[in-house]
Amino acid sequence: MKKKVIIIAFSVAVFCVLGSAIYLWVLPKTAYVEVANLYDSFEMKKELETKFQKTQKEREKILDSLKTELSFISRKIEISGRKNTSEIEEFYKKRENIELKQQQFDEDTDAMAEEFKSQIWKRLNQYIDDYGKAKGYDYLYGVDNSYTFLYHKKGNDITEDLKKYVEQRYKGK
Amino acid sequence: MKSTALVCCIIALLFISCATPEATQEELVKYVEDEGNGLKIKEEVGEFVFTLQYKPIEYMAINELGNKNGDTTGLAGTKEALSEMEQFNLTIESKDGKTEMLKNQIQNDEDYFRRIEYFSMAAEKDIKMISGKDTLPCVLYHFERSYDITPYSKMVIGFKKNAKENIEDRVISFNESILGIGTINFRVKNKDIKNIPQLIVAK
Repeated sequence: MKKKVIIIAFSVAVFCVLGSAIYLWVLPKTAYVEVANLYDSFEMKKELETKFQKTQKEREKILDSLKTELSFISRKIEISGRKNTSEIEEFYKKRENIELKQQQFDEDTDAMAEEFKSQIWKRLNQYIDDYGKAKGYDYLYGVDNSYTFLYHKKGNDITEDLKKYVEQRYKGK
Repeated sequence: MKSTALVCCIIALLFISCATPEATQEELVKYVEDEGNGLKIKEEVGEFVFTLQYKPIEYMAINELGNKNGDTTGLAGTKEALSEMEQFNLTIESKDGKTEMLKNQIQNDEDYFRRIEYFSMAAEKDIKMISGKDTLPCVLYHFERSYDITPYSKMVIGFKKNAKENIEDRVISFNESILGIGTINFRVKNKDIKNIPQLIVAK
C-alpha cells in the first residue's frame, strides 16, 4: 500500500515537472515596451532634435534679417511719400523673395523632420530586433496610446532594460 | 618552506598570465580580423552593414609588405613610417550582399552620383575619433570604390596619435548624411588593443 502511494506521488511529481517544462518551452516569451518612453530617451533622438532646432533658429534669423530690411525700405517709401518708384519696385521684389524663402524653409523643415524621424526609427527597430534575438523573446509588444493593448501586466515591462541596451549600442559596443 | 614555494608559484602564474602573447604574421592577421577579439566591429542599420576594422601598426606593415610567410625584412622601417597615426578601415556593405553599396536603394542616377561625390569628397569631415574627452578630426581619408565588383566600398581613415591613446577607448563616430542612417558609433576598447599579441620578428 505504502509502495503504491509512493509510486503515485512520484508519478504525479514527474508529470507536474514535465508538464511545466513543456508549458514553458511551448509558451512564447513575451514582454512589452513603452514606446514613447524609449523613443524620447534615445540619445540619437536628442542629438537630432538639437540639430533640428539649431537649423530652425538659423533659418528664422535669416528670415528676420530679411524682414527687417523690408520694413526699413517700407519706412523709406512712407517718408518719401510713395514717390520713389524704384524703391517701391525693390520693396515688392524683396517681399516676394521673403515669401519664396519662407516657403522653401517650410518645405525643407518638413523634409528634415521626416528624415530625422525615419533615421531614429530605423535605428531603434534594428536595436529592438537585436535585443529581442539576444534575449530570446518571441514577441515584444509596443505599448503606446493607440489602444492596441488594453491591459498589460506591469512585471513584463522591459522598457528600462531596453533603454540601457539601446544607449550602449548607440554609443558603440 | 611550503609557503615560499606557494608564493613563488603564484608569482610565476601572475607573470605568465600578464605576459603579452606572441604571434607569427599569419596568426596576427587572423587575430586582428577575428570579430571576437574586439578589433573588428560590425553594425547593421537599415539596408547597410558597417564594419570598422582597427589596424595595428604591425598588421598594416604586414599588409604593406605583402607577405605573410614570416619574412620580416623591412618590417621595422615600414612600422616606423606608419607609427604617426592610428588607422582603421570602414567598410559599408549592402545587407543583401549583392547590390553595390552606392547603388543600394537609390531613386535615380543623380542619387548615385551624389553618393560618389559625398564619399569621395565630403565624408571625411563627418568622421571623428573620440578618445576620452578629445575629439580628433580625420587626417587621412581614402575612399575605394568597388565598381560593381563587390557589394561593399571601403574607406581608409586615420587619426593623429595623441598622448591619451594608451588609456582610453577609441570611439569612431561617423555622422553620415547621404544614406539616411545618421550617426553611427564604433567603440574599440583599449583593453582589446592592449591584448593584441606581439609579432615575432626574426633576428
